[in-house]
Amino acid sequence: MTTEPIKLEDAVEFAENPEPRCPCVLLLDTSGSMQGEPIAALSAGLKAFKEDLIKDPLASRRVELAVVIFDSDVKVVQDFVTVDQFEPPELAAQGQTFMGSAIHKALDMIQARKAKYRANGVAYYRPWVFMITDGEPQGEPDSVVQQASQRLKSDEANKRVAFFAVGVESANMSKLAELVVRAPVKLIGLNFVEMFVWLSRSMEKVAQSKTDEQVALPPPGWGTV
Amino acid sequence: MQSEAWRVVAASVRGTSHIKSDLPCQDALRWQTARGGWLLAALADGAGSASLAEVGAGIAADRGIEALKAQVECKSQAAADEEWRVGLVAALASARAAVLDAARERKVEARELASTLTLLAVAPGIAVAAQIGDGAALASAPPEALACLTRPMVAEYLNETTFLISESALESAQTVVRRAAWRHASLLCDGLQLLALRLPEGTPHARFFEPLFGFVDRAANPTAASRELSAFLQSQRITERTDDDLSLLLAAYGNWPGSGSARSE
Repeated sequence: MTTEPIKLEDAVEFAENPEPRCPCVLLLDTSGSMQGEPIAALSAGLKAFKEDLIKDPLASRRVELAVVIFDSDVKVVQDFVTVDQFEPPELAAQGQTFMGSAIHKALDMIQARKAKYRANGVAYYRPWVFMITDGEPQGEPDSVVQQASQRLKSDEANKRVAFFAVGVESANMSKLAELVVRAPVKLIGLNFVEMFVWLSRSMEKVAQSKTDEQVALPPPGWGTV
Repeated sequence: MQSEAWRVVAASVRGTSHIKSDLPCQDALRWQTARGGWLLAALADGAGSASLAEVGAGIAADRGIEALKAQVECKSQAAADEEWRVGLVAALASARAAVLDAARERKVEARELASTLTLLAVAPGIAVAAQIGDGAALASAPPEALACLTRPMVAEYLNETTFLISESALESAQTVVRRAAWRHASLLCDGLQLLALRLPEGTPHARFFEPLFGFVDRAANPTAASRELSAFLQSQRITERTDDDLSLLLAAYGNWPGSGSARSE
């Protein structure tokens, strides 16, 4: 053959589609009972999360993290950012456990983020909410909690979100199981670092296609179902 | 005198995320030529969450191409479009039944064998294609530009699609019959969609495909060219953009010196 060979790596150009996104909200209980060792361990876990996730070049471009803390108030301490811009917050513990309002807030944020993706032609993966608590809803009217739980269940049924709950130490696991769809996991000790490394690895696998999503967390090694 | 034939360059490689999680390549890509100037091809992409995805994908692609062959052997190319569509759905149904049978034999849930399936049969005057799930089948008849025959099924989430084992799979299947002087054809899996198609419209990105078809037109040795394609799909330029399994089939119809009829391994 007289024609020049084509070197594919140089010749082929890629379509310029926006990077697909995977939104993830961390919903963290910072009520008074978390004071001391638990809150310090949780803060350390967040740092480990960032360190692990940033090692994966695709995940660090695709995963968008937001952090919401709840005690006697619900606060967005980090709005959605990619991992490189994520600054793990130092957490302090105080007050009660406004879990119902916190769930509402997370679902609101997910809804708004998806609308933004759609408006900008960005493809996305199913959003995740990862809630960590050492207690049960406290200090809110029960109706707020029930409403939040119903909304969460309807969002799960309509595949709007995958909502995972993790209980720490004295968490009321049976109450948690009533509120969410997927079986909550009980953290072994204060093994947050291992849990967040697991979460990071799970987010790296997010692009793998899925069949049925109504499943509990896989046996994670850092907790018990 | 040489007669015209299909030259096929194809590769299927394991994605970097599959390597990391110790999963096999869950794509199954098959092709063969058949009398009448036909090229037959099947691509099944196993679901990452399915424990036997590569088994399911293999069965879907094998049975799919077999059933497709039976269709082109019993039909005239001039048969009505509707007749072809019925044949395509029958081929998908046959692949689906084979996967469901395999699930029963192995006593596992059908979803453990979940995969997508794209079927393409193309001859110089006609192209027929069918698809369940994502991925795409494309063809061009110069001077017309390359166009999608089937395109990724748009679901809300990028990684969630319809699978062959889904209840509504056959009703939601895309079936396409187009008549033209086809010279180039391609099949690709969802892992390449973001690189090869402009989304969300799902139109082919010309500067992705043109060099690739140029490469096939010059590939005197399709086996060596397939190895080169495989290396390209594993190159850093690609893996920094996608970590999924990648499959790509490129075919060109022409009068190739020294070409015989070929068949995939």
